[in-house]
Amino acid sequence: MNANGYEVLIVDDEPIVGRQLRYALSKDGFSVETCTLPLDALRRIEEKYFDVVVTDIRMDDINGIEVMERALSKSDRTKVILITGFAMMELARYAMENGAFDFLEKPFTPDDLRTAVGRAVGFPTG
Amino acid sequence: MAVITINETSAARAIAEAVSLKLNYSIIGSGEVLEAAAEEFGLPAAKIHSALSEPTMFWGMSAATRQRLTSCYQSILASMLSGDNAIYYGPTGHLLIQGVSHALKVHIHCGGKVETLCDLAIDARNTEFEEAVDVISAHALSSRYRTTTYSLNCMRNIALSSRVRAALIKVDNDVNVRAANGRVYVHVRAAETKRRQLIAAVNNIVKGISDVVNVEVTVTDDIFQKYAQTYR
Repeated sequence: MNANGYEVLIVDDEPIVGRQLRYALSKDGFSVETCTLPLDALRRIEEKYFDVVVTDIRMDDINGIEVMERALSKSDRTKVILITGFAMMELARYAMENGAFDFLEKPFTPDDLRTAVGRAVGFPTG
Repeated sequence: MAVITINETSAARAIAEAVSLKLNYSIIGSGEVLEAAAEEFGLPAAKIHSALSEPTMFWGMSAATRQRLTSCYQSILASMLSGDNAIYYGPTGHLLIQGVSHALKVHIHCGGKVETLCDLAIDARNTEFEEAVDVISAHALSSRYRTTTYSLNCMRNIALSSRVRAALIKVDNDVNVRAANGRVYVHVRAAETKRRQLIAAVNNIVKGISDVVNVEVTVTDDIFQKYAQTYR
């Protein structure tokens, strides 16, 4: 897949997660920014349009659901993918009901995320 | 899109067929699952049907046989439901796919006790046929029941654990199996003297099952066997 031109924001308070995901997505040509502080993420969302926002749910101060709400209120074309180590059926349903594009349980493989982000920007799934 | 399960009632088949037409979902009936299970496990379909539908009675089918036959049925059902956009009507569906966010579990009833496992309860006494079809379809199309990477994984894990359970139930009727992305966790009971033998048997069986990456077996004391040996 050639994802040149697509902007992705990754929000996770664990720096290693952001680094790994950025590496995986950059290989496909996505332009990736990472934030470890949700407040920084909200600022970047205000400043710039992102095609896809990938955000952890459980973070200090501001959670991923709030990041999603802010991203969707800025642009309804942005697709939000929520990731969490505390996945449950009700949480997944809540996320989808409130506008998430996809929901992934940690740990996941880089390929899982590449597939989800690819689908978010409209690449055919194989 | 969702997977829909409807409990076994007289109206279930007609409603399932109408919903499947409306949403363009594939339809899976209990008869189809029974036939596939009978063929896969070499068992009479009538016997599997009895295990699923007949009430437990003292002089009836033993609990062990019932569990074995039910696990065969569930193994086939779970694999049929691992795709998307399907509607199933029949027994054990609700129980089998607990925890899957894109599975809409519909309970059609005529008063009385409503299953707590369901997402949508429809009282057949005061709901018109078309209304029931519309309500189920609207729920299935809502974003709440949209498929996610997580829910598809949950479904795959259930399908794998059901396959493993069906294969292991001859080893221990109460075998407990959990699967997570190809890793399979098996819990069985055995007397101290038979543990090593049992672990080897479980490993042999499970490693031959497709999609299994590795298997972890834990064994706890079978107190009945223990006391039987003590007082022999």
